[in-house]
Amino acid sequence: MKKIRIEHAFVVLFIGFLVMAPLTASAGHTLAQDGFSGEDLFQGLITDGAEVMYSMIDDQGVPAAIYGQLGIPSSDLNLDDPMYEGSLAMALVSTHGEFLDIIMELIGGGAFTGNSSSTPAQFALAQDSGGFDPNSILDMVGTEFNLLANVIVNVDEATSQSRMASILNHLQAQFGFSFTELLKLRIDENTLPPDVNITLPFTSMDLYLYKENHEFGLAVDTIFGVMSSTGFLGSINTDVFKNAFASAAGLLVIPDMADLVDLIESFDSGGQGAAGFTSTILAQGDSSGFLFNVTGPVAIAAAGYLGEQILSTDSTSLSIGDLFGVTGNIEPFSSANSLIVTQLPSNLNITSITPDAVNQSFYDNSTNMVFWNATAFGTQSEYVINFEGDFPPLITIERTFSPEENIAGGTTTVTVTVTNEGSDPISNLVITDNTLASTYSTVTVTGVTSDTVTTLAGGASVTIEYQVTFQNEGGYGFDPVQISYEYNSQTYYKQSHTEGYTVNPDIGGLFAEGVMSTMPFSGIALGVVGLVGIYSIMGLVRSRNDTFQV
Amino acid sequence: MAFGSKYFGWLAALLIVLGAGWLLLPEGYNTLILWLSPQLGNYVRPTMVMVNAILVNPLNNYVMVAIWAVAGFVGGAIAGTKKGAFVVGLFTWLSALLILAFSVYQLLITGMDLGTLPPMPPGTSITDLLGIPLVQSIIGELLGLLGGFGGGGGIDMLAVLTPLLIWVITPVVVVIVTGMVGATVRPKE
Repeated sequence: MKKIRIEHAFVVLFIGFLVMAPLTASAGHTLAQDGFSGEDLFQGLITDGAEVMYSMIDDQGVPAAIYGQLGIPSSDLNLDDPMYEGSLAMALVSTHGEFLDIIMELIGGGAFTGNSSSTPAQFALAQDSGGFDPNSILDMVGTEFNLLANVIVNVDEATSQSRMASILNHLQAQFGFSFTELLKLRIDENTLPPDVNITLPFTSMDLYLYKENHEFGLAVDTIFGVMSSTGFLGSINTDVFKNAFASAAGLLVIPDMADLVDLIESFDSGGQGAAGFTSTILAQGDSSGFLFNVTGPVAIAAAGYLGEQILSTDSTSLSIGDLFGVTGNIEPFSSANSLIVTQLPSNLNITSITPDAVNQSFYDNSTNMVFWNATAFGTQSEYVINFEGDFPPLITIERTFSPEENIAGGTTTVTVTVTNEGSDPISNLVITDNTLASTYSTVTVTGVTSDTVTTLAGGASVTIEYQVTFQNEGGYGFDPVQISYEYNSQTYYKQSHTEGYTVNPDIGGLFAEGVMSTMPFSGIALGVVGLVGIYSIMGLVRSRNDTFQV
Repeated sequence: MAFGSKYFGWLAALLIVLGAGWLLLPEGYNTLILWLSPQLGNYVRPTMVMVNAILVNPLNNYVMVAIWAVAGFVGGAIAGTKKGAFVVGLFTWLSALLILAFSVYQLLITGMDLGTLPPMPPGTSITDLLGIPLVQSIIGELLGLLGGFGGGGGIDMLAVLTPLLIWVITPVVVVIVTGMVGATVRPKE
């Protein structure tokens, strides 16, 4: 069974992003209020604005990091402009690499398949003995998405389309976005058959879906371009997000929070929604909800990535700036809230952090969480965590293809190299890269696709090699190489990344195959065309008036 | 029998349609081809090229409209007469239909493995497919039909077939009309 390690990091990462504020409030002077209130705090974060550098290291020294800004839309968005009237929420999401793969495993692997010993198959179909693998959804839909979605309610169709066009034009002109329309869907009283007797909580709802045309790296830059460029963002190198094997960036814009809350409340009041939950969070009418007095525009932007192992046997400290590609000083917001939160694995003992000040920073060795209220610290050259711990050696997995592209019918040699970059040996190393033939029935695989090594010394490598012959053109996905090994009597699992391999069409071979397989008809047709061509050329040579004239 | 000018006009127009159609295939089709070819065989690409060439929604597939227009103009100019341009345009379109049928036939008889649907190739997603003009057109029509269901009636077959008919007829109309323009611009001496 596939082991999940980094995925767990992302669970904590996202949950951490959500709970970070209350936790930090207990440590920092800026946010801590008399009598802590989650509602007050969240409203404060939205109205005053906040930014967060959140990072997590798993027990193999692999980092996950996310940077986000909350409630600080750039004035360039023009959220007060009439073109946003009726817009409930606009979201732009860009994902790259194995990010969605990881999220899907995170939210559903065991729950859907029932394969996990710790998680019962609560969502598996009763009639499906094998359960449903949520990863099959990603197999169908892919992993690279650059999507913009906007919802406009209670506006006539022509006005709605006009406003959407204005928004797109503004985003393109102001920030450099580029969009291609994918879907326009209008739901109103004419959409539903009259006999279903459903009363919509709105007069009309227009859903717009567009593809953002930039590749992921540019999409990340344009997303951050929408937000404030001061604070941490001024010193972060966004390349860390662009170059990671799994990353994502997103932007959520709510032109008027009150409008969104009103609509959600109308679902509940209509008795058609999950009454209670949304009201508890968002209710405004009775001033009891979590966001009862939050109105006006709200924007949230964030980008995150999963990195490669950075901590190993000799590591004793972690620089937060390194996780975000910071080269100079780290400068927080002066008027909003700047927070740094890091979660370390439980097998570490944190010895000190820098900078450290009472009520401005916090760490303990029970939760292994570290907080800095960066706004209070002001400009700092670095944020460092010193620790005692024992990570496994740095093990790298490299897979190369020769040639790197091919044509239909060609063969490529795949070489997988596992290297122990550390000084200590590892034992019982198992390498497996054998899923291609089961994924694509038309490929032929020969050679060694798995191997076991009793001991791999520090600095040593082991290699396996196999050949793949591709009958058809196409974009082939090589699943990650899986390895397991033992170090200090503990078994570790690691994997490389999904890699694509392109096989181009063989046009000549295709033509010849087509002709040969349909003989004699194709031969007759080609013969007729050829003979007429020869006849016409002869006529041209003789300069006949009724032939081709040039 | 004098048909050399029509022959060369037909050949030039067909080569333009096939060559430009192959090279300027919308990105979404390329994703579809990369996705399906490993299991469905090497004739997925020719089939998609011809589907894109034959089913043309003039409202969103501007590239293919332009290709047919250029092919028609060149073919008509070579043919040199309006009558010749009509014949060239018609035969170019019929030839494209024949090649589409041939591609589909080849797709069905050569190495198609329907056992498993391969995963989307790394670096792509299903949104690429939504960018295919034909897919967008079909979605638009389906949404229109969905609205029609609101009235309580059944499926209006005419509403289903009309856009399909328009998409099929568009290339032949474009290639013949531009062919006649070409023949007018450069009449046979």
